[in-house]
Amino acid sequence: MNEVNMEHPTEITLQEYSDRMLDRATEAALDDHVRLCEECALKLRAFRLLDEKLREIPPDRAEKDFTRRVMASLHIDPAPAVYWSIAKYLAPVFSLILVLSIVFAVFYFSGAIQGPENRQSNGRIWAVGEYAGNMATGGIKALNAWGGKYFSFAFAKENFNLTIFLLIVFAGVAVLDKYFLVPMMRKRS
Amino acid sequence: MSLSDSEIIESIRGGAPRHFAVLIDRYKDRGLTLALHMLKNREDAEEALQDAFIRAYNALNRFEGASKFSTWFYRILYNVCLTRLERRKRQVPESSYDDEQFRPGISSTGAFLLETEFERKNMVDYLKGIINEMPAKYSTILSLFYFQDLSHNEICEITKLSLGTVKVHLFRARAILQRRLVNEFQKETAPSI
Repeated sequence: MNEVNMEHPTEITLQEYSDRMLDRATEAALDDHVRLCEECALKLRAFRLLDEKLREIPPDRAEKDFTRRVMASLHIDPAPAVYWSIAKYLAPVFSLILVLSIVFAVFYFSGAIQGPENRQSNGRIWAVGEYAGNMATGGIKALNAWGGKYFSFAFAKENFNLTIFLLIVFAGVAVLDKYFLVPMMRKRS
Repeated sequence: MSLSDSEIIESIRGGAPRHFAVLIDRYKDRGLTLALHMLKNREDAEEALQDAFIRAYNALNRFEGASKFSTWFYRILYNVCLTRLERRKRQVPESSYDDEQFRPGISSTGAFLLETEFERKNMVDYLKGIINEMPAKYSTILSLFYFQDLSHNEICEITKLSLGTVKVHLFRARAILQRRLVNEFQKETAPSI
């Protein structure tokens, strides 16, 4: 029989010792006791094993659409998907590029900024560009003819042709943006 | 890098309510675990959790940040579940473990058995089963301590129970687990005649 105080701590004290909830003096006394008392050491090991196992239990999983349901109850649009978050910022950039391209093409092929007679062949890239330019010119000519047929009033004065054509394009883009693109973006984001 | 709870709350207050979804995603599983340990029924637990999130959102402007968001939210959830439990008690009285029948403690033999049999594969499922059968007052404290990883003082803040009561409930919850496990192991290791 050993010499230490063999008055066993209560189980609740032993549990608090395991949780490191005791003051330093009591903890030191229990350190000594547990080192020499096999019965309490065994109980302490069992408590710690149970502790360990309890911490291994994973949390229960909520239903996949739980967040969406709560957000719907709060009448808040859920967070957008990643690709829509990117698309939201890309769309105005693409729109700007599109508008600028149309403006440039119109000015370029109408000869406002560089007459077709000034163009010089400059290798394969230029040839491809020229081909694309010819296609675009054809398209614009067709559009002009269509415009001339149905919107002849807009072409009455030679000087206003280009301006009116551009106004129609901008108005078209604005209508498309306001009534189609923006509502679609709002709905998805 | 993920935003802290207080940064998310600031952005919600600043006009981005959809960021509340991040808080829901962050706390829904642990919240469901607490609600399940209190209500013992998945459907009820999910409803209570949804209710708690809605209440938390509506009260978000009153959250002063004196405590952590998690503590504040668990307090709301705890109260929602408590109200449901009280309503249920009026309909069906609780019939499980009685405090009078409660016999805490394990023998040295029991402790030895626990130590030797603990590495069983289905131990986690088995423990979950026992916790589910425990009275709510014990499983709730167990859940807050182990599954929400809260300190005794935070548990006191959430439940408004005294520190002594929290300690006793936690001790009893673990004692129930130990006794049930020892009984089960004894049954399995007893020699068949």
